[in-house]
Amino acid sequence: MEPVTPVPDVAPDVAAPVPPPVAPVEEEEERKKRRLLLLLFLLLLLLVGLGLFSAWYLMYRKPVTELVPPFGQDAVPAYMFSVYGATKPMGVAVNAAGDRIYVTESDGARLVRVFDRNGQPQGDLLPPDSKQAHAPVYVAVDPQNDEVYVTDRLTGAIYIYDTSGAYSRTFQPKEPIPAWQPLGVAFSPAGDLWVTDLSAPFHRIEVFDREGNLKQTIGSKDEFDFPNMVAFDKAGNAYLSDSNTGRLAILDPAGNQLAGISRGAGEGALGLPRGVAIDDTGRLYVVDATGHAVHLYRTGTAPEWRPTFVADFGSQGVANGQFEYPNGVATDTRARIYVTDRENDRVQVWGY
Amino acid sequence: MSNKGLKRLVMLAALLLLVGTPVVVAAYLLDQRVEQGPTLAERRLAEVEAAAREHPDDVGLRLALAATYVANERPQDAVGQYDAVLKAMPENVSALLGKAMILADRGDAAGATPLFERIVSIRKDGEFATADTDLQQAYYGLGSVAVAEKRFDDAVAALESATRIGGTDADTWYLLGVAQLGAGRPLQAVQAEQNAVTFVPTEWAQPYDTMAKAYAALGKRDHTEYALAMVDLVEKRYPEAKQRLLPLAEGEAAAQAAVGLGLVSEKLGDAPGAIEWYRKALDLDPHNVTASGGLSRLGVDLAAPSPAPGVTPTPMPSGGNG
Repeated sequence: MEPVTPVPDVAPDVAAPVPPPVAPVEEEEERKKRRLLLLLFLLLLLLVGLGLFSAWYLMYRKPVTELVPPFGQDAVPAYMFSVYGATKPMGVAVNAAGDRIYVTESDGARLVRVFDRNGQPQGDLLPPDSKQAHAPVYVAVDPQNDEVYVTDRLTGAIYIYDTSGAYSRTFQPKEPIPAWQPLGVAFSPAGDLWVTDLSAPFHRIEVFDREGNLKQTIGSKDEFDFPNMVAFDKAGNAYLSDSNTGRLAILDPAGNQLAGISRGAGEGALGLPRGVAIDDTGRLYVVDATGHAVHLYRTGTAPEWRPTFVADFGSQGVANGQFEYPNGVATDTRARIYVTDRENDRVQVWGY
Repeated sequence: MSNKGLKRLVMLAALLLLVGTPVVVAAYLLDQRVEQGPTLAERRLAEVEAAAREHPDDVGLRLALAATYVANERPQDAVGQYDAVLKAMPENVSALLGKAMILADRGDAAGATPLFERIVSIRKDGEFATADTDLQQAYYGLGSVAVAEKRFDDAVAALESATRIGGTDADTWYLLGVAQLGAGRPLQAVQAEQNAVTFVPTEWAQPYDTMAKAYAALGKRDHTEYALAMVDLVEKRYPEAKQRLLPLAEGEAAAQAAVGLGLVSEKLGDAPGAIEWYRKALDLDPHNVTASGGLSRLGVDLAAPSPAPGVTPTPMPSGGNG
């Protein structure tokens, strides 16, 4: 048996120096490097974000609130400014970029006035025959080539102007329609021209291809009463303001009824609907001429398709943001809304 | 890469961010900024001022300028123009009325009353006195000044004269109701307030508020509750309004409650429900203008027979091709 080594009864030497840490300089340097890399990563992330925002803004030039649609979905636009220089303006259209605003006059010289995006006058669209009386009503911009289509109530014609504002030609249905009375005009996503027609025997909607071939007629006796304007959602459904019945009819591309909004006193119910527009995010705007306001809805989805009312904007009066018998409405891709304020002789521009 | 190199990169990125962010923000704000320009009222004012400067003796232009000043919330300038007109034409009713209304708005009853009275003395025996809207406004002005001074009997006399000229002016009926209640005649107050809400049923709470006080003074519990429910309705507290009205639908205020429930249903987007309530209101009170107006608004042909009990009324078609 081995003898047990006795443990020496000696206190440890407390005064002995603490051994130095292992490689302290290298570790500190490593930590610093990690911190710098993290900082650099964050800064680069912010720079990339700034770059992406700049690119997005250069492409769309929308207000920043439009960057995150779910948050801006139920936002209500605010008054921005007014465009003056059109007498009793009725219809309005704007090219997608928002730098040309076309406004029809229902009084005065009865021309189509052209403004830039700041509301500065750029010229007029003159009718082909200045000796004849004219009454331009609604106007649409062809999304394919920016040509401008103007309906004329007195001559029963649709005049087409090129991008320089010069008269180009008159739209003619291939099969002539006796005493044709085109009122509203709009291009569908399929590229067809939808025209609301007030001629006998009953008010209806006609769908033409670019060559003027009548592809489809929508409506029957007593179905529509002064249908005014049509706008389209991304699915190609048409939103038709049937003015004198006080309703908005939602039709599929084949013209079948999907849903609608009726006349009434409830929230979102209509009085005398005139202009209709849908912006690129699916917000639906309906001008209620006798309600002196614009109703804002979110477009519906299949299978209901019924729009959801969001809010009204505007009230009767002459102050900024107030209307006296508004009529037409148009939107651009910059989240701006253009509303003709007929009795106040101006076009109001609203935005988010 | 060495820490020194990394540090340089960090500094560079920070610098880029420090310079880039304000540049992008400034460019964004500049691009989004819009020049508002003068308002419509300011534009119109500039036009009328220029015209009045060119033709200083044109009374019509002076009056137009005064009206434009009023629209631009510059009443003192408007009074100056009215005074200029009255100096040349002391009995010009438009100038008298314009000035009187400004003074009344300011609470200057002592200044406004003689002007309103002068209009009454000029116009009350005129050929078209029964359709004279200036005279009607003068009576209304006298009535409103008297109500403010709690001279309720004087107010009633003036406002009744105003209603004889313009029987559909809801504001006059409302004020007459206030004056009648103040004069201790709640029954007449209720009648006046009912007239006030006949043509403007849901836009204002004041007539219902006065109506509730008048009904309470008459000891009519159901009717008081109805009027309070209508205050809820006007102030968009629809569930509360419905809760107050439903128990009244079989009582002594059944007709009014049915109209109220029709309006609530309409506000809540329940067209079939609204039609049913309006029809019930018309069964109880065949001359109820609000109920027939509601049905007409909802596209119901009033000449057509009512649907059989239990049959859901059909609202106006909501659009389309069928």
